[in-house]
Amino acid sequence: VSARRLLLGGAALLGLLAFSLLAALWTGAEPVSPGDAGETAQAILWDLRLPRAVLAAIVGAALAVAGASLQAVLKNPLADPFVLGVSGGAALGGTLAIAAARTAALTGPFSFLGAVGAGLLVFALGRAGGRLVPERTILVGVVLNAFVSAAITAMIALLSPERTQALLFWLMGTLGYETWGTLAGAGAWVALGALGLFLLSARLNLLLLGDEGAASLGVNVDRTRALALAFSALVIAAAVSLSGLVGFVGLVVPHLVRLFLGPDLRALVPASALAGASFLVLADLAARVSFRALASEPPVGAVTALVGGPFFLWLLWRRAREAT
Amino acid sequence: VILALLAVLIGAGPYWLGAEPPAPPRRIVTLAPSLTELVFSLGEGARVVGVTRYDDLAEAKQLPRVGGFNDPSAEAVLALEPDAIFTPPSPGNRGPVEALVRLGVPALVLPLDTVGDVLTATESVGRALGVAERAAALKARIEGARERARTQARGRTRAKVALLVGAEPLVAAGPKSYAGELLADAGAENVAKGEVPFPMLSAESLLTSAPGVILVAPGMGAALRVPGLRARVVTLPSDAVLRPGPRIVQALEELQRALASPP
Repeated sequence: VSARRLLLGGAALLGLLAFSLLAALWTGAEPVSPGDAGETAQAILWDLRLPRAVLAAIVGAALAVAGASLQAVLKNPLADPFVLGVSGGAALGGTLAIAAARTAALTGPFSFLGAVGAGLLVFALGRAGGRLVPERTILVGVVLNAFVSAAITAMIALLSPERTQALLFWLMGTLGYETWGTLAGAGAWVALGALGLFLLSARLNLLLLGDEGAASLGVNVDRTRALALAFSALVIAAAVSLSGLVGFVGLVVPHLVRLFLGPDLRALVPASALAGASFLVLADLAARVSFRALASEPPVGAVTALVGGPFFLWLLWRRAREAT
Repeated sequence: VILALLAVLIGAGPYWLGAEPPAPPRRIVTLAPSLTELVFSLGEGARVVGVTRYDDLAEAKQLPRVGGFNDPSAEAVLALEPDAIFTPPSPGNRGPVEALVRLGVPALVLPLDTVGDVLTATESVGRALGVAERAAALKARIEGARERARTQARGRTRAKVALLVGAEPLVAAGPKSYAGELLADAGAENVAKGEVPFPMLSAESLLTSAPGVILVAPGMGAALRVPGLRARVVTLPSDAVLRPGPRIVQALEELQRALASPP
């Protein structure tokens, strides 16, 4: 991919993110837009819409960056942020909080603890012979996810119907209203993890040549892989504890970006962050606006696949037609 | 976790999230149909400015909808400029409600599991609206209806009854729920047991308990498929039995009539 194309792509993605954030500020359940005077309009704009758009951007960026990196580390195009098992831990933590707590304020912290706990478990059991074995790590993650989803299903049978509904709603992936303090913390956390993955991206490129090839070029294969998995787990933990399991973004946004910018991770990682952020901001915008028609705000996790799925298939189809 | 669990198990009474308003609120958003009905039956329906999409009270038909139990839109609520929210302690709406409380709209949280909860909620809402006497009158009306039902049921044979509020899975009104208490008032022996307000039943336990009558909420009868069930299935005329508010008086009458109707 030429430098010109990269520059153009980067500019386009920055523009897209700016557009998404502005659009998110301009539209919502109520016909309120910047420039409307009045205390209520101001509160809707700056205290509800803005923090929610920022949250969507943070979560979207985290999921897409982790997806792009994991697809490379595992050399598997089907890898998504949830294969690591961290999401399962978060889901379990969040489930406990929703099942027992009287406040929504505990859901985030509990799922974060769950995510960290699951991460530690997966990495501890993923080690063999003193090094982290990716296949093993993923296997542990998948088994953990299966176990957790069974545990959650069992809990659903015990909970009251209204808690069950609330739980299913949250598990589908929903964005709420976080305080600026939480957003700042999560933003810094995700930025740090994403930066780590970006700094690893040149070495991750070489891993795609195969372990021997990468090692012969001076890459410490084990360490690079372990670091990439660890940084991915960090950003995923933040994302899932803030939003539940928002699917599709981490799987498809990297593929989408790859269609335009190619597989070089030095471009793919930052571009996925921008594209993932824009995508989730727009998906959440769609969820919020659909309130006008449905008198209900569907979980954003439902919107991402509902809107993103057909779009991605259409894009694949068009590409195939252009190629022939 | 333990503290949170305790709080749930003990089941506290009504409480304010955010500062209790110094004067009775004039613009109220209710986040459950039963609470809308409560405010209207206290004669203060004009203060309700927003309701859920499940609200079907004729007088509230024209009011803006702000969402459901799990998905109220904080933006839609805030746009109505309410000075209070009345809500059940629904874990699903807690996120948006807490966001609104942070923005200065206090929420009166009203548990509605038992008849006692409904009576306490009536008092709390009456006090919040400054119509405590009307609330006391409504409370007396509910208590009077229960007393009459119990008197009428005295001496009659008690039918074994399951009151189902869900078909797949089977969910029954337990004796500790307001619906179960009404069922007992109407003179029925509830086949559902235990502390859980609305317990899940297995098909086998339903058959084993051998109810003579199965009461179901409207629209649910068709979904009820338990092979071998010999009970008479009666569909209640309205969903009053699903509304833990002033309509429990109506629910009680419907239960009495359903149990009295010939097989």
